[in-house]
Amino acid sequence: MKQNKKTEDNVIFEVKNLSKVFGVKKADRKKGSGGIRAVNDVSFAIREKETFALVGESGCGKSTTGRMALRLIEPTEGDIFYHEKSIMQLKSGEMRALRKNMQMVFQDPYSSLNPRKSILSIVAEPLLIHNMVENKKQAEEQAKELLCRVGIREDQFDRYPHEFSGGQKQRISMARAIITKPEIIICDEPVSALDVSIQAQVLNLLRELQEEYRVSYLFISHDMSVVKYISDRVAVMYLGTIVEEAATEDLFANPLHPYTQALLSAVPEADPDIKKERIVLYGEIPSPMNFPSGCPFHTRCAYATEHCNDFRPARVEVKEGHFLACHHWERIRQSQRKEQEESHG
Amino acid sequence: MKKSRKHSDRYFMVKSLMKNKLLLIFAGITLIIAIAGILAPVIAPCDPYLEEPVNRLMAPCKEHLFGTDIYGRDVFSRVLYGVRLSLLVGVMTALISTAVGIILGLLAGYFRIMDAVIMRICEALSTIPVYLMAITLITLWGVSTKNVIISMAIVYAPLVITVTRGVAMSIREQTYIEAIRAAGASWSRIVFGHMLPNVISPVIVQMTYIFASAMLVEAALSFLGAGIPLPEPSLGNILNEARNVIFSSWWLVVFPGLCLIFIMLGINVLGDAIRDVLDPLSN
Repeated sequence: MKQNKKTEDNVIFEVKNLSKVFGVKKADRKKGSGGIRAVNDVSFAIREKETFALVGESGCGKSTTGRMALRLIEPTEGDIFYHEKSIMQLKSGEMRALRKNMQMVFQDPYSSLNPRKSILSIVAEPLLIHNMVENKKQAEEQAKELLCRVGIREDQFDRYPHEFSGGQKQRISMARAIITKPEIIICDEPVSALDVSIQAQVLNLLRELQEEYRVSYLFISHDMSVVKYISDRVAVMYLGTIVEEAATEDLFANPLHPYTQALLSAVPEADPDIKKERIVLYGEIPSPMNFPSGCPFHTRCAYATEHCNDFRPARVEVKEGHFLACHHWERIRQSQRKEQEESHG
Repeated sequence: MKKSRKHSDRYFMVKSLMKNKLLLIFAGITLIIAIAGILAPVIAPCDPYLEEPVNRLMAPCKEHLFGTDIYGRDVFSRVLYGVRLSLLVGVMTALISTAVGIILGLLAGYFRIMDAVIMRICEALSTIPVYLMAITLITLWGVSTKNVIISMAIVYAPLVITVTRGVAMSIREQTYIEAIRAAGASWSRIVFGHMLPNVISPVIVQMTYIFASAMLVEAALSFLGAGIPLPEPSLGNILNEARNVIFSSWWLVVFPGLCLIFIMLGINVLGDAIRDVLDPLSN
């Protein structure tokens, strides 16, 4: 219990029951359209110096969640806590001041740097915005130091973004995010636009910076192998909801939700001798415009029953740190164990 | 490092402009006329207001290169001063309408609420024909050089607003704007620090167009008597004064007319060339 209390204290960032419904105007409401439920009742907490990954397929609301966490998109419902204080009620000026503690790295390195600014001024700008230095020269000094740290050569500081490769641009983006020494950085698919060989370098840099600056990451990705490599805890999203959340090792060794199982079975294995049984999901993801009743996954789940159709599963802690939203997880686990025993026997 | 690269950028831009022979010819002629106009007080051989009734309506000769008008004033001097005034009106109109237009256009492009208000006003303004609008405003405020410039700036600002707003709206959706907002930048930093540098080049093209057409409209207004008040010479009111004697004294019409034509052509060719250079797709 004492242990538990301590970890609770370390939570620096928390979102509770976050939802986003796009396109609900008065006119739409009259017509009876519920709008697009991009994110539906998402809660998670990020601890100090932790990498918390949000995985899921395209369009499941990962990026929207990340942007809402920084209030770049205003949530329709829910609350966000930074050091146990709600940031939802903050006025725009107070929110701006707080942004130096929470930064973001974007997916597309090509459009996330202003083409008309030299990289030095791009990286130095957050310091000037928050008056963290006395003058421009000082800001540029710090920016130079940091650019060196992320592996940009000194003679390139005055160049413009289009003169850099995707990997370099992402390093520059990271330098811009970390220069204000934030406590949390939202990384929205920071490596998905890069070559596999470059991905590893950028991921390692993320890890090194985490050690040096004691920063937490909310790491948004669709790539299970990247997530396995970088994150401490993982939350799996499906259709705007978190279906399972656990420590990385636990989740990969022991996935309990049928969707997580299907997702993990699709990860390619580097060793050709390992034969994996793929779990193939049938059908398409339901449209977020007419959100399914009950469990969002019931339309494609092999284990679904009437009950799943009618009732939304609650988030339960099945063991310490392992959360799940499924009515039938115990039954599923038993039947899978039985299958395994049969195939072994 | 920076200097040499910037130099080479400019070098390539100048080089590609130099390739355009038509541009060189017209730009050269325009430049000569413009410099002559700017230096009018130095170059002009006579006082443009000095009336010598003895020498009225003299054909071009050694003392009076472009002849004299009905009051015996030296047309060459008057044309030089006229060019000077026309350029002033063109430049001031272009600068004022661009400055106002960029600011309002950026605000309209960034704030959705302002967009509706600003654009409706622009649309209303642009439904009124240019000349009608200018004459109305000048009649309201009284005929003076300052009022001509202000009323034409009002007439042309909607052009700049529309162009700026269109570009600004597409830039607003770029990730780098979201990134700088995530970094905590205020709206003024976003709009004037990050969006402004990206809208400049399409606006410069628009500016050359405004420059040219403001000069033309000024000439037309002066010709109609609603522009630059007499006796101050402008290309338009020189033509106006000449219209009664147009068949007997050709020099009163031809020289100011030619000046206007060459300046117009030069600026328009220059505007096209700038657009070609700035547009990466055309290279």
